Amino acid sequence: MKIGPISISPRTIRNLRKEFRSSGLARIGVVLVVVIVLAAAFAPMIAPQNPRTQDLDRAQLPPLGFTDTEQQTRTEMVNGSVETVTENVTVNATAQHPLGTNSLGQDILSRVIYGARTSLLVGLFGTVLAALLGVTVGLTAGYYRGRVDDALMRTADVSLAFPSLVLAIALIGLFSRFQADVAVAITDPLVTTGVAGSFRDAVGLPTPMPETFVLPTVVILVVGFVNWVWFARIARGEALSVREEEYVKAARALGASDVRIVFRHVLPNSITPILVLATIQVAAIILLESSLSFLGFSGTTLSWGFDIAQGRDYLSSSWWIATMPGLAIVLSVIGINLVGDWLRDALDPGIEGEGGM
Amino acid sequence: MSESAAGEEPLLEVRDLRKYYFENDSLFDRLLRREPTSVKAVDGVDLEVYPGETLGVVGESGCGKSTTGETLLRLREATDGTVRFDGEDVMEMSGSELTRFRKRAGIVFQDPFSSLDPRMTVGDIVGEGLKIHGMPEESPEDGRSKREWRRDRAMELLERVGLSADQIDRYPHEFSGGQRQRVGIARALALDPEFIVLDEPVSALDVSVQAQILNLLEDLQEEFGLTYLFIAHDLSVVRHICDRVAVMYLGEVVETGPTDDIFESPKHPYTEALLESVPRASVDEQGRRVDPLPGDVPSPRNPPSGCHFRTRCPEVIQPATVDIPQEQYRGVMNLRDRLERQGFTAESVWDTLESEHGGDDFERDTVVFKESLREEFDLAGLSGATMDTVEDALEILANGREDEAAERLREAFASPCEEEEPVLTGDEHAASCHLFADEEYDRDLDPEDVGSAMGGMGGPGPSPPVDGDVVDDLDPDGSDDAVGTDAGTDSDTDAR
Amino acid sequence: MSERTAATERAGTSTEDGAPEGHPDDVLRVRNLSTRFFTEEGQINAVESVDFTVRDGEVFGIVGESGSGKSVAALSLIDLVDSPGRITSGEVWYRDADLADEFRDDVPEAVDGDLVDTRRLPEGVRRALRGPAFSMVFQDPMSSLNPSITVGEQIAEAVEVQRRARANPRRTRSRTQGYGMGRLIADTLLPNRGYTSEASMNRAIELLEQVGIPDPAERAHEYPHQFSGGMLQRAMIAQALAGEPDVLVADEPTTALDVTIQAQILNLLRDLQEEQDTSVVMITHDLGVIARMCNRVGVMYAGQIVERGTLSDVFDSPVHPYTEGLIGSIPDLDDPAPRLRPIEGNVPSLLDEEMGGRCFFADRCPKAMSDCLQPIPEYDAEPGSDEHAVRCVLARREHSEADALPSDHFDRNEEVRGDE
Repeated sequence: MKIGPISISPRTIRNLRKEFRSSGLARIGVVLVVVIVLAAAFAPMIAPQNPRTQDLDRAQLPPLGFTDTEQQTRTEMVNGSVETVTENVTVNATAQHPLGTNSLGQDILSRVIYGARTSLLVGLFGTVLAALLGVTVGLTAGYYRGRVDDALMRTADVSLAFPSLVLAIALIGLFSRFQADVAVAITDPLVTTGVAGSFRDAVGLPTPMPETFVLPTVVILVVGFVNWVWFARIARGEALSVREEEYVKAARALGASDVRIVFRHVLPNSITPILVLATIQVAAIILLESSLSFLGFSGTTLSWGFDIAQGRDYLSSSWWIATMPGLAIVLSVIGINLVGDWLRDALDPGIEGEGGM
Repeated sequence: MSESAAGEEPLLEVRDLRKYYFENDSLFDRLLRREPTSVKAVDGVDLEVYPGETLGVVGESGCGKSTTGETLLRLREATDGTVRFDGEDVMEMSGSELTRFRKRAGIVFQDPFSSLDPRMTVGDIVGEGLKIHGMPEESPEDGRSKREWRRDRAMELLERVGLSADQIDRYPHEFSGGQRQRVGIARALALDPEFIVLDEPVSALDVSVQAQILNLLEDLQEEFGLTYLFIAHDLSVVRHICDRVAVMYLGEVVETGPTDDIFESPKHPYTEALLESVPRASVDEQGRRVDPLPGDVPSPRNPPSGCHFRTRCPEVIQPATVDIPQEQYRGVMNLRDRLERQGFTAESVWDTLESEHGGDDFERDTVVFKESLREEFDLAGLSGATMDTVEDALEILANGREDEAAERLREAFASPCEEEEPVLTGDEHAASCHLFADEEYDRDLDPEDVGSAMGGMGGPGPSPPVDGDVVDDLDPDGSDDAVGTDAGTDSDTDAR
Repeated sequence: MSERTAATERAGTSTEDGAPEGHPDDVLRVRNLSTRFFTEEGQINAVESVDFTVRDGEVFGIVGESGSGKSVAALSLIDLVDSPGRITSGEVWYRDADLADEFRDDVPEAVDGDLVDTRRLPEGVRRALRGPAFSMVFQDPMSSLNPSITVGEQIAEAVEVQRRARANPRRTRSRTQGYGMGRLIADTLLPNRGYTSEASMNRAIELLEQVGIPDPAERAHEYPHQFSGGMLQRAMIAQALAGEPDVLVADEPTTALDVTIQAQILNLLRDLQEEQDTSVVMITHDLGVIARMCNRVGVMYAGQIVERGTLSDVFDSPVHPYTEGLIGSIPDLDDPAPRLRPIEGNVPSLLDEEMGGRCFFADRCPKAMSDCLQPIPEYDAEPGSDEHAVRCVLARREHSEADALPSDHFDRNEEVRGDE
């Protein structure tokens, strides 16, 4: 099986399957990731409500299975005079909002489902960008060594010296000055084609759903620029060791150009640790994005981090507002890391297929 | 050097090839004013390979044979020297010339496990060269695509090296060591080369597989008219497959010539020692008394002056003023080498004596010190002036003055081998050794010419030049201070 | 070739009471030794029913290519086989009068005169035998010595272990060998209490000198990376001899060394062996080394000893076609033949399920016959021969074309993994 220059041998697939069967954790990880991806992809179809619809009358409803007591104050006419009456009201959950609502009356479950989109998009695209940048730099540095290596790696070191969150914030500040529109709105095909609409009608869920969603491009760019260093390090290490292999010498003896050697020989043989790193980076970037949203920098309001920020003030009373998106982050990160472990255990070249004394 | 007996021009001609690795050479080191040191992996190598022949390059680890092989293919940049392939200077080739050269000269590596890219199928590996050079240049006439043509060619090559074509889509790890080596050979053959460097192609293989591969290599050479440079450390393999042999030691070629000549009448003491050391697979081997070459190969960072082999040579030449048994002379030279190049200290001897004699109660006794050294370096049994010199030196050494002792010994015992570098001398069978090259270092000196040194009987000298060998005149301006140029060259009057 | 019809099947290949028969000088008698590895891919039969004897003061060689099981056989001798491997059957009879007396009453079936079957002794006892009775030299000295401890210290450790074992044999047979966690912590924390003493360090320096290392006192304080390959191998030999063993097992001791250094080390082994009257089991793939060093030889293939005997038996009158093939595929240094005669095919897999119940060499053998399709016991190569044994039907009958197997007989059953 081939993906570009990288061929996946049948042995690799066999190893992946074997590891999957034998490791319960791998299965859990895959399940979690699949659930999140499906949720994000089919958000308009499965979210119970439109995540943006506010309904102040139904604010701060608890999730199913919980009841909440609230103090409500009313002004009443009692015997001709205006009095404020305070009474404790029991608030019940409703099936319309299975995870409750936030202070604006927006459905939390729907927001969590839509938030998955943001996290996954940023995680995926951010990782891809960081990987492209980092692997290119790393392979070049590792293959050529000498001054090229020194220069590139010192740049990486400088970048590493900054805590990633601080660097990200600084970069966002930098970019937002050049672009008033910090985010890109993308139309949601499931909604515009009416697929979501007809499905929801059939099932009896309220419509309509948002037609566009925001792709936080600046965050993606920033995250890419912050995280390329990890890829560069790994790629460089791999390039350093692979370039010493005899098959690289053999390729040179055949007359292969440097570019060919790097893409045809060094890259495919370095791919395993890069792949494992990529899965871990997706998780890390999701966390980074959440932190940025929490601080208000992400440019989209439909994000887990943003919701956590919103719910911060209500932690003692309507705890579910912050906790649900928080839980979502935890489960996604765990799931992705478990998948990363699965890949690493299966692809580890230390596990040789051949036995024998 | 010259042309072979058939009057052909060599296909490959290497002259004074040098490859040094410089350490301590970065900006940082220069700031700290560190002297750049160099590892002299290849230190002046001359070779020729004639069309259709197999030239063997043998030597032990660290002699530079693999580095030579890679450097002459320009897989590493040479520090100095020229390599001419079919008349063209390889070191000066431009990009496109170099690409053409790569089609004509290939290489097969030693390790079958790391010389094949584990991520590529065997078919891709064999066909890679074709792809790189854009072959076929035009679409084949029979309607196949270029890709199909390459695939067919790869299958053909696999069959030719003894594998089956239907394994073309398998990965290297599915093959055994011998089979992988065949793939490596097929890869080298894909571009239809004229010349192949074989860098220890069978060293990593089992004996029975080795034989299969050697037979294959011979067949291929005949079928395709290939010229081989066969690098190896296993002398029996070299004897079997090579037409001519070059023996390397510490970055230099010490002897070269037709295979049978080298193996049956070696001229250089190192070649002799090498042949002596190899165990033969026969019952007669059991009784054979082997006198191994002592010590280790010196570091290529700091090769001995003059002849690199002098620190271990059993036939190192005594200066004209000295005439003692060769064993003792070798002993003196060993002591000198340890003092001058290996950081020998008197303290270490005292430490050893101390631990032998039970620790703290040991009192330092110069007599014991000298006795221990005499024993270690085989210095007993000297007499006369040589004995006096040695005893003096030992005395000085016992007092901790290593440099002075070394100097004392050097004055008296400096060998021509350390002062003059020998040059490869000879026509077809050449050796880089003063014994072979210079008539005056023949051991048959008249007692009168020995001068003040009244050592014992003349030591066992080297075998005098075999009749018929041509010895060039190494000393054109006659400035050598040899005593007694009328020293007999007649083998019959040998005074052993 | 002598008539083979009167060839006898060798006695002693089945488990019987008492030690197998042999020469009165035997220091080691191995019978029916089998070692298997139980891996995920299946059971690997690394060593299969191996018999041989080693005499006092002799050098016994085991020669084979990769996959022959020779290294595992060596490790099995001194019980160094780790999981997933296990010695599944066999006896290793070792001559030691004191040991025999000690266990004669407790484990009578393991004692026969002065010989003791070490396989039937408690594990602690077997472990305690390593050093004073058995010791081993490995192939790659650079990875066999601890790079973070000085060479002298390592050898001193070996000396110290032996010293303590001799002083208190019971203690060293315990699981902690008299040196448990408590002692370790105490020795690390308290000053002046190391494991080794000055006396053992001095002995270590003495041993270094014995093996020909110059400036031993100084070199003892150096680290392995400061030694050359040859020097390091000498140091390993010094460490192996620290306990004055009766049997030294050398697993490819010179394979990683240059030829001139190899000559030095082989000479050293010879000299030491003669001086101390040590028996040596020399494992190698190099027939030249075998010829130089050994008196008697065993040839291993696919986990079995297919032929054994004196040097001239094996070199001059081999019976097994594998032995013949091996000798024929080596280029001769002194007399080059125009063409080598290699053995066709590849070494077989040692997986239990893939090995047929037949002669394991039959698929590559130029003389395979229908008789070869069943398990082959060991026969005397010549009638009444004490020394020369071979696992081949050719010891009993001549090769005849009429019974020969067709050349493609094994192709159907083979995986698509071979060539030719």
